[in-house]
Amino acid sequence: MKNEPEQKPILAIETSEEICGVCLYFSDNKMFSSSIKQKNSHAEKLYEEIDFVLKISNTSINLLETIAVSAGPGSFTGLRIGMSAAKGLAFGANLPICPVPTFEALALQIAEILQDGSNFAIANKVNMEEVYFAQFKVVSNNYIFAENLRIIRFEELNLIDKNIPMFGNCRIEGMIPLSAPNPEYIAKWFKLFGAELSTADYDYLEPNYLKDFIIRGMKK
Amino acid sequence: MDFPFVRRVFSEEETTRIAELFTTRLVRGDVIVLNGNLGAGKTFFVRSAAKAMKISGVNSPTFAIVNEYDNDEKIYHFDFYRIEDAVELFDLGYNDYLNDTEAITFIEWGERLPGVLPAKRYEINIKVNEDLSREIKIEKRT
Repeated sequence: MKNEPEQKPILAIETSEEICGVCLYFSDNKMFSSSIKQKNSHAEKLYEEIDFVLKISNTSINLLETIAVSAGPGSFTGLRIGMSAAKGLAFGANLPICPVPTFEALALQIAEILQDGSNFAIANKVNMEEVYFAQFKVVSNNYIFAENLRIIRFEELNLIDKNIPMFGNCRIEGMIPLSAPNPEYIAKWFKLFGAELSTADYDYLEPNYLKDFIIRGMKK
Repeated sequence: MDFPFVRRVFSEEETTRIAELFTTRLVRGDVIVLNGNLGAGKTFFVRSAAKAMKISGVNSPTFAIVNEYDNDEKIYHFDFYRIEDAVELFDLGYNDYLNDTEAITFIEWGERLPGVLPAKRYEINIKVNEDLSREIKIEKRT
């Protein structure tokens, strides 16, 4: 039997929340991953983790297909660290970057474990009063948006159907504490949907903070 | 200490005692906004409160915008005096600071950007009287 040529690996970076994670993804059957959960350590640990997965897989950064980076919404500082690392590495190794929408990568991960046809929601804190919110539906181990990503008031979470499983970091009753995707799902999302988003023109690439909206939303 | 708390003070020692008393009501995740003219004693109040939480060496963050202190308690100390626009604040990761439920956040000159303050907060107003005594008013907003 003839061996399939090995695909070029993807370096995936996930720093949108408390976990600082990287994955060197070749395929679903071969990947090298590292995740660290330690507050305020992303800037310190991210490069060590990248170095680790490259070394343990005996891969040179020049051999990558792309760098897929979790692009938010999420922690401003975390996203900024991930994006700037991606830009630096991409520039040095002449690679493209794919900004992966964080909620959609998480939705992809969740869709693999929920029953087909079921709805679920993701709700992560913007600040003490507002929440990034989106609803999804599982369709054949994949997801579709049931409600587009937007910012809502914290108290509006009480209006969401209690039968819909809700994932996130809002620490309300019934919420499942999963607020960011594992880094391999950043890579998987790129594989499925990211080809057109991948770009070598990343000078002005920014994380998606929904920032203007936040500022307008907070005016009282 | 019950809120609203209003007290006229005639010395730094009295202010220190109020700050110490105030810290006994604080829990991690609280946000405290301080307003008052230049020299009213906002930074002195924060320094005294921090000292009661075993953190020394607190200085005005007017130029740094935010100072971070970490001992048994973690404190973020903002100063909005030089902030012209809320965008500058968000560019510092303001929401990440406020989302840190392990820390206590003090904000001097909060009244300059009322739109970015959380609704749930303590608000401290320090007014300088003609005889240089201070009126300290502490409100709890929910």
